[in-house]
Amino acid sequence: MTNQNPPARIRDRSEIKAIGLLSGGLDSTLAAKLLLDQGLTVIGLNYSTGFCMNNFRRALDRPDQASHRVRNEALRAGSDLQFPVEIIDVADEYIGMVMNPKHGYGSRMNPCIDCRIFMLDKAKQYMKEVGGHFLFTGEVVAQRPMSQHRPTLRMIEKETDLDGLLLRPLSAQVLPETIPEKRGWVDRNGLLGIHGRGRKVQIALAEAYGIKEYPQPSGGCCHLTDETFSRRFRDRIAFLNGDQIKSEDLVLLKVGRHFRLDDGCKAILGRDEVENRFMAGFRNRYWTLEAVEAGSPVTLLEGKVTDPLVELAAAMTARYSSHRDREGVEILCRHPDGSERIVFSSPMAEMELERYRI
Amino acid sequence: MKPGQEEEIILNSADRRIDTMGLYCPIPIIRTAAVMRKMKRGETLEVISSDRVILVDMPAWCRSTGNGYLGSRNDGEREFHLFVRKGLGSGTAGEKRNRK
Repeated sequence: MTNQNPPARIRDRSEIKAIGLLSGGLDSTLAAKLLLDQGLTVIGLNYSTGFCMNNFRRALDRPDQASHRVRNEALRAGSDLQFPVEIIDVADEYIGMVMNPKHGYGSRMNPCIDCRIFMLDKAKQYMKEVGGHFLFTGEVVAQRPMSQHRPTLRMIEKETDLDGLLLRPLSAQVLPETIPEKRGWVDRNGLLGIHGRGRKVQIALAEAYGIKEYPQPSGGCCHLTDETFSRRFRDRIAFLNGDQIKSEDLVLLKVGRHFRLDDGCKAILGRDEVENRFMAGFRNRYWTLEAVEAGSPVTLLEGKVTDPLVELAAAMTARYSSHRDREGVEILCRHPDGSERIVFSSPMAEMELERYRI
Repeated sequence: MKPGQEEEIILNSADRRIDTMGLYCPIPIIRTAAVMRKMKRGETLEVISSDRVILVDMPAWCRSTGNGYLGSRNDGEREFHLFVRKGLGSGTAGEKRNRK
């Protein structure tokens, strides 16, 4: 259970266990560092939601992608600062929250407030299991438009029932005193009062601490903040036809060009060799199409496939093949059971193609 | 025993082995952590993965959690065998849960 009653006088702060949400970005790394410097025991939690762009880049495995650019930054932070990090897979539960967020979406499909509440609820549970004393995050007051406004931070605390047990070390001095500060588990004077979108203070601190290997802030690593992904995700939800969204659906939303052929079927066309290789891995589960003896996308048909839809997708495949200037192109169409047939197709005209594009 | 011989032996025989070929990040690390929780201090684990970036992540995970990273070998272009030794443990929730 949560340990809210440690010894009245703290002789050794290492008795105090702080549990933090750790993305591995600069802010959460610095938050952990501030607490480590006060001698606390720190554990970082990194939740895997299924929407992380970095993880998908790794799955694609582009040959020119340097490993250090797609590493797990939370592990890197834990390694650099010498504190344990636990990665927890919450992807299945997370989808349920994304489909129906109580506080709605941001400008795309990003339910940032509900995401925060979801993760803090999970972290609170974890804290109870390990006898942790309080939670911390790298949040900075007014840094982000949706989830980090002062009233929103307060509301999140209330909804997660973490009143007073959620410390934001980077902004603590501009926020009300928390239980860890009141009880002397943490020295408030050793925390910061950062406010707003600027990052100069954090960058200067990183330099002072010798933290060099942090990722540059780039608007996040979440597919749900991406316009193209969000458009495709909305389309997928609109045409679920009573099905549940699956993690495999999400994987395919991240790759290729997407075209809706009808209410029950869409075509996904690989954009390059790397995407083609990735999509070819789904051959046993979906219809796939490729132009014969030509540079060609791998086209994958998702949903209920009929002969007219195969022909439609064949015309799209022909359009994106290296034979797009020919009158007709041979397209190899492969059923998931391995049976094959050839369709002779004219490349689809650009105007017509746009009618189907998601 | 010649210098380096111990490592060579370890890289060819671990106490336990898990195959995470074809699994996307971070599942291989999550599975590694789950298996390591059940192992005794000093025991070794071989993790087989097709994710080349695990060569960066696994040493970081070991350093973060107080386990030992022993090294890796490649079997072909996309098959990596990584070897870790159970250390003092990290006191993470998983360790605690496992002790209950």
